[in-house]
Amino acid sequence: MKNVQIMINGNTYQVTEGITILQAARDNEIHIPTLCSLEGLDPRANCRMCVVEVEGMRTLQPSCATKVKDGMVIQTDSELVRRNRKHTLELILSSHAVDCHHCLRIGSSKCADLDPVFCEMCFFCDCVKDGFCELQSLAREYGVDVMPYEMHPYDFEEDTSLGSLIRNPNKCIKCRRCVDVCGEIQTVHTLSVENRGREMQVVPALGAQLKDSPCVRCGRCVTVCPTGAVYMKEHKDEFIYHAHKYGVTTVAQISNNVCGELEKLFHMEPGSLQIEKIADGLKKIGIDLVVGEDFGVKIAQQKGQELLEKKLKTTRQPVILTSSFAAQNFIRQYFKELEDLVVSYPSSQQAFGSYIREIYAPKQGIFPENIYTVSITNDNENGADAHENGSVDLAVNARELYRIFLRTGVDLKNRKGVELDVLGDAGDPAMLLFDAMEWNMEREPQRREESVCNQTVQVAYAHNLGQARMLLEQVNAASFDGQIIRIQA
Amino acid sequence: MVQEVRIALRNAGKINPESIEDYVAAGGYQALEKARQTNPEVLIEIIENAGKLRGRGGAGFNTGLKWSGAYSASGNIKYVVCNADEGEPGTYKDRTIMENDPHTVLEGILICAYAIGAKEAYIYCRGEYENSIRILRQAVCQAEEKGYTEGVRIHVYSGAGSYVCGEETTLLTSLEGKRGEPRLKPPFPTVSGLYGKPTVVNNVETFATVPVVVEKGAGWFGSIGAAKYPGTKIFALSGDITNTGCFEVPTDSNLKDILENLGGGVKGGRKLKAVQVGGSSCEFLKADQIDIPVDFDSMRNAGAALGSGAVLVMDDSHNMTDILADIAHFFEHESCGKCVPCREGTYRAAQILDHFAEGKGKNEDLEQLKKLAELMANSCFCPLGQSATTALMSALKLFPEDFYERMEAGK
Repeated sequence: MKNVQIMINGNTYQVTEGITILQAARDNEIHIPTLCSLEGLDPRANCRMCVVEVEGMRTLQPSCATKVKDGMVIQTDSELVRRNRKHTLELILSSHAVDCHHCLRIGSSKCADLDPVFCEMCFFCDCVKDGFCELQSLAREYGVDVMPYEMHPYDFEEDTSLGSLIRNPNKCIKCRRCVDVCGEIQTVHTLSVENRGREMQVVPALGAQLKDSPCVRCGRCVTVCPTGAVYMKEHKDEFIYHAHKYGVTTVAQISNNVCGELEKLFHMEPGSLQIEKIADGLKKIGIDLVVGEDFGVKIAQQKGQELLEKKLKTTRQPVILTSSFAAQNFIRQYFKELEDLVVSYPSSQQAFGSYIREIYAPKQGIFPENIYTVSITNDNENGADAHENGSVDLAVNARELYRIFLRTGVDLKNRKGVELDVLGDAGDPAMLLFDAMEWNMEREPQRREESVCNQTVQVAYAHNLGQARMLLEQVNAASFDGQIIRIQA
Repeated sequence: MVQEVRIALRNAGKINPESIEDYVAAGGYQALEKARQTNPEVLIEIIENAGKLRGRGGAGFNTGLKWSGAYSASGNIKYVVCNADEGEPGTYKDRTIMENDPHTVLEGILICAYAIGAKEAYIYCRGEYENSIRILRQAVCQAEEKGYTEGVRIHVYSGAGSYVCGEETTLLTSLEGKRGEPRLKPPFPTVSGLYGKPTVVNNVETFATVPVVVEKGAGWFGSIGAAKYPGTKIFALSGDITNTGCFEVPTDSNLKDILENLGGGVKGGRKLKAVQVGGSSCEFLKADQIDIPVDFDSMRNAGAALGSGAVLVMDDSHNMTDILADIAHFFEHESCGKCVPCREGTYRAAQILDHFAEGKGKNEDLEQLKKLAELMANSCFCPLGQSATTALMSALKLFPEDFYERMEAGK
């Protein structure tokens, strides 16, 4: 790859030809704010936050979509650039349902008066993203205090039709990350854009409500939303109520995938937060029993292995192997003809929930109404699964748990850690094939050889639903050459 | 005194637009014959260098340069697209051409298709122009029947009422059946246009001029009008002027001359206040600034733009803030909503200008408008947003008293 020489803010850099200005800046630790750009998606250049001055260009250029050229002279933080970015933010915020900007509690809308740490603790303004919002943090970075325009926040109705995944169009800044993730990556195409100008909205296709849309509840739109426009329903009050309730045994399972985000939220060193510390925090606020994810995973995987071995004996192949709630919805919706190839084994949340209710509670003599299960996980599909199937009583993600901890005065930095509870023997770990898969935004599925039941099989791993669609279409066209397809939605 | 010289409108009013025989009898399709006997490279050279034909849609880009770009781009599939999405307020020259002489547009398109090696051409016509669409479709059938198309398929596509689709990348996106939103440039359409293939996008007037350039030669064409922008340009007169209508004049004509002698002066004997050439996205000229040639570069030098050739004449009974409020509402309505500065900015500009139109303007409003105009000119994604406040900036400079008048009225 050829290198080109560019100048950013007066310094010269050698960068790879063909990369964007934003990439070049990031590689050299120069900060450029972004709002719509997201690694893994094609740049849309909608938000105009990442604009920079490029010598010789009549207008400011979006750095996310402008490729470097040899000899380019770039200003990323000039007076003009900063003024334009701030004004863009003012325009967004003047039309945004900004619960967070004007603080009713301290009676000020000046950024300097608002203490971010205090905001995270305060629940007065009632936005799920308060303290975690990309728009909010940019508004603070650029000191957006007084709006120069009349406040005209959007006033649409929230779409709560699914009960778990909620869409609040009034917080939407039309960056369209959700549209692209839903359409390009997951190939579900639930979300689209309707109307134009200021009436433009991101909506489920044809203006339907989410429950009437093809949504498979993977919750990836929630993962990528920079604001609180799509979010998982929160249950802070319910959680704390049950934790404190006399006579109810609360059991929580903690997924490993919440550690990273909780570390960030609590400003801890990477790798310094163990499940045991989270368990300590949970016990402090009244959760009776805490197990790690391994518990549910082991039960689920043994079940999966059993089903898989049985299925592999049948003649029709490949076997589609998944424990993902959204992937199961996806197959039911788009590949009904392949349903008899599917081995749906329980997710760790489902395995945990049913073990506690069906085995643990009866054994301990606890009445079903006196046992309360909580799953702490960052996969949003689990929230939808808990809501729709009742696999556990509550599913809570890292951000929500953080807010619960703040409200109850638990600082994970100060927790020493307690040993996890042992609720029974989950048995031996299953084969490697069942190892955890992480969702990503790549377009190509991975393939590996695995040994299953003493035979070598070809396994294709779909790390998102777009990859799954590609593989399942191959199965339909009889061009898939493998024995197993694993899908993570 | 300025005289009309008709090139694009040469047959208008003289022939029956619905009869191909009439067009052929008037010498039509001879340029196409001639072009097809010329080497494509030579043909493009005529348009590019000798003819110096520049786009009549508004940007004034060298037509031949587009053609040679698409010609030399790799790939077997190439497209010609005629931009007939005439949406600029006050512009109706393309409709006049299409409804009076559709075959000259087809002939121009076919010459271009031959030059770049395209087998497919699209005319993207403004949806409201139902009559133009009907006439064009009929003309395409006639040309196919008579064998002039030689296997080149021409499709007439109806737009759906969006102004931004007149911007070429948006037009192509819309033509592909997607939501009408601009694309990132580069890549430019000549390299990656319709369906990602090399595509030439030209305006109706440009295509209508092509047959004459080919037939009468580059030398003849170059001798008409201004040296750097040769030929003729159609001006669509509207507003407070005695004779409204289309007038085709050499590009070295004088604007004042056109207004007084072809336009017949300001209607009702009132005094001229301002002229806006090029449409709503262009600057104003004061009454004492209009003694200038109308070619592309002279207009630029005068701080205005030729644009599409729309000429809006305003007499002294108007306050500019009323006109600006109308323009702002137009852009607010037409913004596609893709980028923040345009989506929210056009809305805010209209909101603030309404204050002035109601006589309730404030000093802070004036300052905010200036800031907003700077943001939009710098940060918007496509030319729609970038030029949505051009007229506003121009009026702020030329007619500040109109704003003050509306501020005092409210006090």
